[in-house]
Amino acid sequence: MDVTVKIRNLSVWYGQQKALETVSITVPKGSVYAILGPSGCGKSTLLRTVNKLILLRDGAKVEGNVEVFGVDVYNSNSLSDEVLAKVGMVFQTPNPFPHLSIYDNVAIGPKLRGQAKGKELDKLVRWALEKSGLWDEVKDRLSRPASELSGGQQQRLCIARALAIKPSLLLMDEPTANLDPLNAAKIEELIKELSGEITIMLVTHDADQARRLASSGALLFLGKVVCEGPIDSIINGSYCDLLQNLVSEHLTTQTSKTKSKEIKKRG
Amino acid sequence: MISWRLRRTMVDKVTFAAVAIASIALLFVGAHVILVALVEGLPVMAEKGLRLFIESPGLPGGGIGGFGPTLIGTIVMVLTASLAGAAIGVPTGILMNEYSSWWLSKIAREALQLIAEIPSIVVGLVVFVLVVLPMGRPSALAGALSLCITALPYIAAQTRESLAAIPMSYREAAFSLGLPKWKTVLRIIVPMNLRGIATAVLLGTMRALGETAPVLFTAGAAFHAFYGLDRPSSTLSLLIFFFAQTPYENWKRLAWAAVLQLIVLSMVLAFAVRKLSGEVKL
Ligand SMILES: Nc1ncnc2c1ncn2[C@@H]1O[C@H](COP(=O)(O)OP(=O)(O)OP(=O)(O)O)[C@@H](O)[C@H]1O
Ligand SMILES: [Mg+2]
Repeated sequence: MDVTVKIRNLSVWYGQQKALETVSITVPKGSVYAILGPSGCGKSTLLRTVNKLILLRDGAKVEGNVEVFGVDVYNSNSLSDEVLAKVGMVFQTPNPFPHLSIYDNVAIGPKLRGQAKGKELDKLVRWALEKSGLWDEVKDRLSRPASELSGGQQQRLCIARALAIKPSLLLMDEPTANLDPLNAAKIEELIKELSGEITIMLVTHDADQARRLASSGALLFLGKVVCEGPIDSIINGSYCDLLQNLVSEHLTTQTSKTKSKEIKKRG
Repeated sequence: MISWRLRRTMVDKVTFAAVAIASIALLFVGAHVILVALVEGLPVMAEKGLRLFIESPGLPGGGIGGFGPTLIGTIVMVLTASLAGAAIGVPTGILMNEYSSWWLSKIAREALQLIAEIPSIVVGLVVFVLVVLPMGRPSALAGALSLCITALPYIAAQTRESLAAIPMSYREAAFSLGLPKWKTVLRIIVPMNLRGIATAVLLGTMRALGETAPVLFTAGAAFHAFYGLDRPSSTLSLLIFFFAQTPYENWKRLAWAAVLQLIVLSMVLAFAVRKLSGEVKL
């Protein structure tokens, strides 16, 4: 099996706070890999660690191994630039560049990377906007500021921006969370179409979406991987019940821990 | 015994009164300065009209004349100082914020801190020793250099702060495009912040315009003509400094007109700064 991302014993801190603890996952090449788990369990942090965006934050600390396309990105700086150029990202909240037009938001990546220019660039921008389902809504106002778009339109613009650099690995953090069902369906269609060609790591709170799109994935809880494997082995039955069980299990182990501490104190 | 509630209202009232008095006093001082400048300067402006900006000062005890050459000298020096200050200060600010852990960045930070803490009269003296003495005369260029050095820490610090204020989500978007870091910084982060950088440069310009001490020994005191970059020149602040202390009524009146002119120029710059920084949409 070809592997795109291999993470071993990854721990991440924001200052004193531990966000991920000894995480190990393997993302097969050309697959859609779902990352699931309750809010605050470290899904976004995990994505940020793959393309090193985590290092932009003051006080962030990374320990362990992250291999992307076979390159240990935290230990070989010269090669990691080359590898990370193949990684695109769609963020949890839409963040189009406020100083650029709709067109330039999509074009800036390929333009600065020298991937396309002139007519070719126009074609690439159109292709990306069509794929993200935004073209029809913006084709007459490509030179307007991106900030004039609605939240869901901005989200699709950010998807187009990530597509335009033609990534081989796409990190998507809840890409359909801001979208209506029709547009969400378009994005799911896009993800299906892209899988096989490229690898996608998909964070989602929608278990049905994960089942529809992903072949494998991981379930995180409190910064740790609870289980990893084929998607059916992770969520069999109700996702809600699954999270509920995780939380109540956690609570009982915590109370038993404090109880044993109390007993020790008394003893 | 005074009740707790009464005491609280009393403290409240006294604090309010103190703050109100302080604010009114400040407002009064500011208004007073501008009012005096208007009362003394406006009649001169009315009397001379546009000739004030063209003519050179009259003879001692004679006509008022104008501050034409000095205005040219001011514009040339302040503009040169701002451009040079921007050329050095903006990249330094970028370096300090985007490559903060680099040794060069740390050196720049220390150096700017040092310059910012040196009294501006000392900057003037240093330029006097290093430039004016070897050249054999004060010059517009030496004056511009001193002003540039005084403005530099402001431009760099302000540039750095405006970059630091870019929200993390935009920064992440920029760095997610798979570009080399220098390209991300120069082609996305900096353009995103052009207004902030323009504001930083304008603040430096304001600073250069208002300073007298750095040009005291370096710019010369040539009020009657602008002789060129490498020759003695003068600034509005120098003209005020020299002419206001003479016993001649006509020179004192010219100094007041220059005061008004300086205030107007500063206010225009301040307005531009406010407009620019107010419109940053991030
Ligand atoms: N910049 C930061 N500084 C400090 N702590 C942070 C920071 N960002 C995230 N955290 C903490 O790290 C943990 C994981 O956050 P993360 O954003 O990865 O969660 P998530 O699984 O993506 O949650 P959600 O589903 O709500 O998006 C949380 O406890 C959060 O409080
Ligand atoms: Mg998240």
